[in-house]
Amino acid sequence: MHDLRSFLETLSKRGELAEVNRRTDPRLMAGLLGASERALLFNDLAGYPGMRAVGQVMATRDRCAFAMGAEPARAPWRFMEALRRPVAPELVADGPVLEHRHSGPGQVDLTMLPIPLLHQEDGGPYMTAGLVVSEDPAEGRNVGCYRLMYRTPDTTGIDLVSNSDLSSRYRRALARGESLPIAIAIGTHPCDAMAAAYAAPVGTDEFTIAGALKGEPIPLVRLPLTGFAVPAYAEVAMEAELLPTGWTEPEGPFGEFQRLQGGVHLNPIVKFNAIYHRDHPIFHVVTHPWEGGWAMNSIPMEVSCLEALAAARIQTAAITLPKGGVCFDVVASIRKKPGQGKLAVMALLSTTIIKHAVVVDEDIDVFDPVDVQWAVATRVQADRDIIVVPDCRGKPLDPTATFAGTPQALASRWGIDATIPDGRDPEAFRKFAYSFPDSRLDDYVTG
Amino acid sequence: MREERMAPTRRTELAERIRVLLAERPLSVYEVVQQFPDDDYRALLQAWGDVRAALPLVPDAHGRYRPPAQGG
Repeated sequence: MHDLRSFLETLSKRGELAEVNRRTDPRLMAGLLGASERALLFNDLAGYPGMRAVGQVMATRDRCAFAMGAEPARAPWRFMEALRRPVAPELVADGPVLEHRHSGPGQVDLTMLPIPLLHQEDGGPYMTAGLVVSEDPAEGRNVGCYRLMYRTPDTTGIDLVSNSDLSSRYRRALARGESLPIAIAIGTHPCDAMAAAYAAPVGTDEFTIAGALKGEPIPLVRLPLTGFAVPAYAEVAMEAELLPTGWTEPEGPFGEFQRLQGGVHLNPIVKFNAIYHRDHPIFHVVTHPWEGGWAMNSIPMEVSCLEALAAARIQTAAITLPKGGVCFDVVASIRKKPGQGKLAVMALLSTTIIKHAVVVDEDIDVFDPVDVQWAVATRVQADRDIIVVPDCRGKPLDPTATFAGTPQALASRWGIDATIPDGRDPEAFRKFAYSFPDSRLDDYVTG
Repeated sequence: MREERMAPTRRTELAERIRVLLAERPLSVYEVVQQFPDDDYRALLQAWGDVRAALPLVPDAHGRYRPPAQGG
């Protein structure tokens, strides 16, 4: 079974997991996680006997690709293949997540979980690794990633500002004057989180994508109160409801995906009715910006970019959302036909979040910033190859966005066609080669 | 997993001390946690939750909470 524990074992074998066996004050977790690119497993948290915590599990794009059994460069194609061949989950009668149950009056206390205070200006401690499951009679199951801000031992805030399947369902429940029941799973396999992070069409059960990514059906177990199903191997599960208070409760600030402190938003309140967990559960903390903001989202977003390029009939050789671009920037190399450089730029800029797109030829390594800069330096004329589109739909979290008399953020988008100009001799743009390139430096330089 | 619960008196006392601090000046949760380096984290979360349940606290743009009566 592919669960969080099996993935951590694999990371350990690869030297990508460090175990902290020294007793650790949970308030130090954020700083320690932020300083580590390796996944960090805290085995002895002060005040939380029997409870462990882990973070930075998906902090690199390579690790996310590895989770889905793909070479890093081929990861978005592997994801697309999974979208084409979903694997239905399998309902099981029981599961490890139900080993310990806390429900009923006075029994639900979120402080039993080591919910970290991640950033200095956060409005509270945050649960950041929650897969939120909702059910709808017409649309079926939906799974999404939502952050939850600790308020009281049985309530949190939830970030429901952006349009999503969950916000639509909540709006409909509100219209009926009802709360919206949800289930939350924390501590699952990275593929589950990446599937939930993908902007799937309405009616898609993200667990079927996760199953396809892992190549096996996800075992789901129904939770006792709502009957909603969560991965049976989750470390922690909860049953809760979005109260019919509407968007009235301040939530945030929170250190956001783009490495900036976000603002305070009015959001719903979540009331928790039950907590379940495995023996010695591992509480998963998704850190920002590199894990939750970039790595686990970059591959699903590269898929959206590939789909846009494919719709324009452009063949993509490689694509990446580079780390510093925090999911605003994309670099793609294409097997170009005349006129497709700028077409590719426009296709990429048509996707939801991309602000900046650079398109290069296949001979450029999109994963090497120096190579990409070299292409821009040697293949671009600014007046001809840079496209700027003002007043596009932007992200409110982009601090440069403007609000020109509308609640919707507006932002400019730009793209650079850094491919060899059409009609020019490609030979003039080829990298030179050193003489006798097969000579081995190690044969002449030691130490 | 063994449950570890804080004595109710300590929880109440911590909550009261947090309330007094917030009455003096707006504080972020981080600043509140910094004020109690010797208390365990879970105890602080419980006390903070009790304060939030009792008072309609509103954070400013830097996450500093103040009771609404002191707003402006």
